[in-house]
Amino acid sequence: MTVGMPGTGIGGLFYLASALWMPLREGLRAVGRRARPRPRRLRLALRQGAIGVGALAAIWTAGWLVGVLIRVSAASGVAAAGPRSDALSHAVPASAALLTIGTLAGVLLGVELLRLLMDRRATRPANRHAAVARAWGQLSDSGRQRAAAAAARRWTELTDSGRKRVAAAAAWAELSESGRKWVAAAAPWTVLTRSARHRAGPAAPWMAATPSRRDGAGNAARLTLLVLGLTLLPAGVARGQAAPAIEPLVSGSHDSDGNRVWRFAAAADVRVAGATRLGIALRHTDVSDGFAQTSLDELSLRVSRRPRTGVRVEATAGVLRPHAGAGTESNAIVPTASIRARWRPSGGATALDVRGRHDVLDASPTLVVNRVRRSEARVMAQVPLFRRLRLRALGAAAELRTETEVNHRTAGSGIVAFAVTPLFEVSGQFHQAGYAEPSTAGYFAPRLSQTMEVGSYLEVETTRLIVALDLGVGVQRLAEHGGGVGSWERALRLYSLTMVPLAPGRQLALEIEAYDGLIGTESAGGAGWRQLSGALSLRWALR
Amino acid sequence: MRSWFVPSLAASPAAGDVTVIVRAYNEAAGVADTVRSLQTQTAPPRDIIVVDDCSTDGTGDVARALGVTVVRPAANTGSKAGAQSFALPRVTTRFTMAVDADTVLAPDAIEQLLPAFERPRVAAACGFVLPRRVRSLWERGRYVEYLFAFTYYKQVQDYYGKPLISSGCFSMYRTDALWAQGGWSNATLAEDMDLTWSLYQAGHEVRFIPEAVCYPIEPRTMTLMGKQLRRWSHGFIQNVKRHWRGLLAVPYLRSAVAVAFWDAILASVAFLALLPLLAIVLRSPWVLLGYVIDAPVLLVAVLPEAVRRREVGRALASIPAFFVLRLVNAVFFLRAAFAELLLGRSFRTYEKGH
Repeated sequence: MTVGMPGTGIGGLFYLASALWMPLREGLRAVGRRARPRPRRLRLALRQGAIGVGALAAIWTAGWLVGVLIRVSAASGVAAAGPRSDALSHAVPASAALLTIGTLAGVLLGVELLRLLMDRRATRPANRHAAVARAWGQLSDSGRQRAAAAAARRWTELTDSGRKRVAAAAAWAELSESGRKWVAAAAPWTVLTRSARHRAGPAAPWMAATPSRRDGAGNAARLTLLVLGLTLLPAGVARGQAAPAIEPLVSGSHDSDGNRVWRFAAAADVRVAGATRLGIALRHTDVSDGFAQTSLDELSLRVSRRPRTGVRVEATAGVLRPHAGAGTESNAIVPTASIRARWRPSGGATALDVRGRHDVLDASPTLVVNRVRRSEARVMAQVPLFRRLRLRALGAAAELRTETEVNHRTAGSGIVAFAVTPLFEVSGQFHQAGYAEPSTAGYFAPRLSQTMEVGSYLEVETTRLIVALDLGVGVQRLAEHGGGVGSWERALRLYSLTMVPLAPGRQLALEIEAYDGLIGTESAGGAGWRQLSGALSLRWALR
Repeated sequence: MRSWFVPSLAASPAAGDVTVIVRAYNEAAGVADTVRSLQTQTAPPRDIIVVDDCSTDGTGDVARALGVTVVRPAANTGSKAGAQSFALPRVTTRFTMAVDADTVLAPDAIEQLLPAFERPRVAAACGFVLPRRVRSLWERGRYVEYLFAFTYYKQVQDYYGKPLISSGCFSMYRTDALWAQGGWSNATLAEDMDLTWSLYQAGHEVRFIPEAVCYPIEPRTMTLMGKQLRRWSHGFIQNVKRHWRGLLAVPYLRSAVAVAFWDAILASVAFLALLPLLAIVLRSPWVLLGYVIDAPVLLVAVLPEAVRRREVGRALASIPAFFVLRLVNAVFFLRAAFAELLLGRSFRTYEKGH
């Protein structure tokens, strides 16, 4: 019984992604030499991969045909002619694709959320112990032997890896206070180790960290990290994470329009209760473009909380005062606020990031003088498609308001990411954004901007340094209001973060960001825009 | 209780270790073809049990004349699941096969299916399904649907180790795994899906073997097709309701089921409401192209298999029927979803679909 739409519906997309992943998976398997060759499976993977490629080409053809039909119908008077039909011919296939990707991401995320919810209920300490005993009891003798051998290897691998110990420390630091108490009190591994030791020998720690087969590898890895966190973590890390801290920051940016921005900030925060931290931040910003100069001062209160493992909520509320010149209205105080909630279970690939903010654009003196206030909501969701393949969808809506105009910006992105290793990811990305109206307030407001790029994200960790590098290379095109869609142009994007851990709770961080494309951020002043920015911060726990 | 006649799971499968259960209700016209196709297998089964579910057309006599075991319950069991479970206690082989009385197998179907059980964890295996007759609109629609599904989706599912369903018209099971599940359940109208999902939750594997081919007779009229679609739609939703908690623990399958469920709901709404509404609101007949916009994708999956089978003309001629059938599918699925999920009215009457 086929109800859905092969290729274009969410089912079609799901199987398309599944089919395309098959040959890649077999290739990685062959390269990794993880097992003996499986010619039958390889043939199947290649055949289904070929169907997937064919389906992809067919979808593109169908989308192209829809575009052509819209243009033809507009030209023949069946539909509205003019630039609108041109925009429609591009927007309809792109919007349909985004809608389908978003819906599929929503369905998969819903399933994962439901699973985690049910999993959480099923793995409360008492249930967890029973589940492990049951799972172990259900294993055959050979299954137990294999489990024991795998556990021995896993345990050796984990304890031999310095990076895993760092990860264990991080996992422990991620825990809320109640989470740590739960771990300490329930300590399932201590209970289970006793029962498992008699049967599995070296499998005991692994069994302890694997509540049940149904919990999956994610939970096993997370609990293993917690075991390590308890046994190997230097006590100072936990103390460092809990101590009051100060954080000075200096940053600067320069763009191709000649705008220069310097920011000087200082923040302090203290743990007030459990996993809640309260802080205050002061920031001074100087903005100049070679002709005019202005500045802003901002004071904000911050609160952050980790209510449970993998969940982090941050909120700020403050006031900002632009100095646009004596006697101008632009000197009036503007309230600012932001909220961000992130959910990402340790060891899992599912993630949800929801943000809202109200602030002032400050990338150029013109923006500051015009007091361009931005109110924005942004949602990012990530779901694992398969073991290493992740689907990410991002949607954002913003209102940009000045004394004389109100504009709206909508943006959406679809990203398919493949984790080559836990610390290296490659992705295919499609971003689309557009403004409802053109603007004269100092920001570039095209009707449509589209970016297709190949991205890569890499993390390198040593005991003395953590480096993260996010690179995007692709093409970008724009459509201004009243005009057609331009041609594809090169677009580059770079973000890097270098962190130097000095001591538990103390670290130095350097961030560098660069854009080279038609439009980089919503603060861009016009088409054909390049920007380079950097920020240096120091977090210092007062232990 | 059963361990005295069920050998170890690890032993290798053999053709003589298979019993076929054929549930037949008023199938006098077709059961002989089914039985003969079983008897002429390259790897023939040890026993063939025809369950004459109180037929009134002499089905039992036809089967008996072919030399197979015929059993007849005291009263009609009311479902395929009931009839098959009625015969299960008579099975003394390690493997049990369920075949519909309107289905004939390719001569080597059993031989192709057996190697799947070399893996001890495999509890069920199914094969490629193709309509025996491709004449009417509905049979043509089903022909393309099967070509597409068994060439593309089902093989992808098999690669990830989770075929969504071990088809009821032709599947083989490990007998003790079947016993452990209590046979085929009457809890839903799609007993094959019910059993497949139960096996996954019990930690078993299910395989799809495309080389093992069977040819059922598909509904040839709208009335018969309606009965089958009604049963399948309600059966799918009943299984989702019954198994959703357990499925959450089965990787890939949980995603595949959720996607199938929402795809069916959303696509049905799009076909039956959104597209016509948009066409009217936008005053653009082009919108109706949405009904066939996926034709290129369909062709990509269907044509290679049609070429392999030297049935390109038949496949191309049948493509339009697929879109008609899909639209009818959408009507039945939405009706079933409305009844089962919103009204809480569970449809329980098993009606033959051909």
